Amino acid sequence: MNALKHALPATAVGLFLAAAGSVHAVNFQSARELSAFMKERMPPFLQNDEQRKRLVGQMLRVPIARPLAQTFDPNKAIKELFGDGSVIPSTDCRRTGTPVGERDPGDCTASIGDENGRGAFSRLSYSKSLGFGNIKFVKRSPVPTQPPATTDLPSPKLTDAEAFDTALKFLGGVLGMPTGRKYGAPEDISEIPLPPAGGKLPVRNMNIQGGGDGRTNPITIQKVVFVKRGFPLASPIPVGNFQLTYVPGPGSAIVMFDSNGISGLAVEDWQDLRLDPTMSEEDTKSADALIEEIAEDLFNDGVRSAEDLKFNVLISSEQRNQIGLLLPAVQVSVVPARKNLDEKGQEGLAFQATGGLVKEYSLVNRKEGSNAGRPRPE
Amino acid sequence: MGTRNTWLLTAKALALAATVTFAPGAWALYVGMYAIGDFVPGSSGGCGSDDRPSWPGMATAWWNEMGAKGHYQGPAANQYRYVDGNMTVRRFCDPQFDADCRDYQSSSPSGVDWMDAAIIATHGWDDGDHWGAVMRYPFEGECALRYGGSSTQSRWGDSYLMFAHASSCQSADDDNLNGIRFRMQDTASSSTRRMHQFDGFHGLMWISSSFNNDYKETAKDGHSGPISYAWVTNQFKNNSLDCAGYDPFNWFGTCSDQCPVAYSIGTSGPDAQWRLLNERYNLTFTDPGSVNYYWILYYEGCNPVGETTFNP
Repeated sequence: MNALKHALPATAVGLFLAAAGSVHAVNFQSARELSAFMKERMPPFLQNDEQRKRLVGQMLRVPIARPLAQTFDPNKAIKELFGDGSVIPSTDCRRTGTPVGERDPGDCTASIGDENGRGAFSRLSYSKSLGFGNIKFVKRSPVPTQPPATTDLPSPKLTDAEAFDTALKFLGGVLGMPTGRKYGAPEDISEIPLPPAGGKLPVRNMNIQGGGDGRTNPITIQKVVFVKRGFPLASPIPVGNFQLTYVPGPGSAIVMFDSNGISGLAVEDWQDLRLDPTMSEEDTKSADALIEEIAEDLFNDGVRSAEDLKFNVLISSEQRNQIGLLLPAVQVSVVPARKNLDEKGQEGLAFQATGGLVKEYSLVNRKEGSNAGRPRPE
Repeated sequence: MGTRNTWLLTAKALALAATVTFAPGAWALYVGMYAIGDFVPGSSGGCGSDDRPSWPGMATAWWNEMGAKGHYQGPAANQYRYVDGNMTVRRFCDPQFDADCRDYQSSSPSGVDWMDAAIIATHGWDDGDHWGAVMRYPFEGECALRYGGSSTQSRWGDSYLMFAHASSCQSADDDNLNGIRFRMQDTASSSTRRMHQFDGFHGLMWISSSFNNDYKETAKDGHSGPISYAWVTNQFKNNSLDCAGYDPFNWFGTCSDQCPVAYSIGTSGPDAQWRLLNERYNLTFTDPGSVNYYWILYYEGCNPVGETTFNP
């Protein structure tokens, strides 16, 4: 018996729904239709040429802290994380260039234990050229040879506020990240925006839990602090009843705590960000050009449906070897469905485009000019 | 089912020996990826849905790093990297369900159960009590991979598959978790072989070339620590998606999460938990003795697009 043939009616129903158009998403037959949908959803400050130009001007003048290359001390981090003077960075750390003259984007590592074994293992890795902005610490306990007698596990004791405070002090005081002097960083400039009073702290619990007939209560095994790089705007941008006061930049960090303290961390893409002296707000794209560019690109990428589009301005970068040239940009999210869909709504997504899409677009026209960061053979 | 080419494995192992040393009892895994970025409209004979050109790159980042770590990616004539092409459910469905199914197949295109570890990237949805995933073309009229719960179409682990990563929306929705375990075995084919772990997403997940590194780090971290932890840590996106224009840092609570879930099985609660918290790509355990128990790793209160807050 060919069981698959019995699936045909369901498939046909799904295809019919797809062809008829989803109840959740709007379908686009052309880039023009997508463009019209976009105009309905793009915040007014992004569609207003004068406001957008002022915003770009502000983004080109954000205060930038000293880069990690100047503030991160690997020996200090090793001492703090390993507590052991016998751990040293690997010997190839000094090879920071590639044979063709570019900076090696790879990592330098210091570790203790055997990654492939059953024993405890810890590793600190960081970009050989810290302009790439990566630091990571992983740590594991020995692997038991058989299951434990019970499923009890210890939980971290910190509150969210304590975890947030401790994480920032570690990032600033030990890793030299730009948290501001309040958290032990070497300078006042902070690239880590703090939530306003009453704002949500970016702290979450990682849980483990038994399910089904062996269902257990959840056990929190880690408390994790999430930090996003951000820069203040000199003049907040009004958006409806709110104000945009900070814009995100390239770089994020997470710090994990278990019952014994810091159990891992990752700083990603915290680039050595530089201003491009050849760029100014006069290079800002017009609203029409920006919308047309985004609509054409998304449509050419195959976007034919969306429930919503979201627009978030951010500071992106144009990677030039070990530095990133600051680039005002907008992140566009193609949102395929609503939040809080019920079961019937979820089944209605059958054969639809459900994977959300995130892309960034420059707010300025790039022109020939700066050669900052370009490698030059000796 | 399929019998692996022993000399090939030996040759590969010898070639790897110079650069990679695995733990005693560990070996190079067969690693495969199945990704669709270019979906084919129904009017052209395909299964429909919108393109996502960056998706294969995300899966490739995982697959490449697995290769860099020394795992086996297939012979030159049949690299286990399948992108677009004739991607049908035949590569994923079990012959117990339909005799034409080839999840065990070793020759090109190799089936998912030929792999030890695999990643599948395509649009997905909650198909009642299980995950449904869009294929590129129909096979015998079927356009969907269906896995878990009441669907008996796909049953993995009776050949080789140990670790499956579903880069696909709603592949591990909270209300479908109980049924996943029953498809991590096929007792009609084997009473002893089972999958070890299934990793997916509650709610919708997101596509971007800027997320490639998350997949690379999943592969990398799954060697230094547990695979579950590598998946959940690297795939979780904390309130950074779908944000209002004025709220990029989620201070006003407008953003959504991306919600990874790692899922293991075992003969007891402690067994399933032990596997979830310790098994790595370079330290694999014997097959679980049963699917009686399952454990999950996740972020509390995870709130994605397309679903309600995670509440297992």
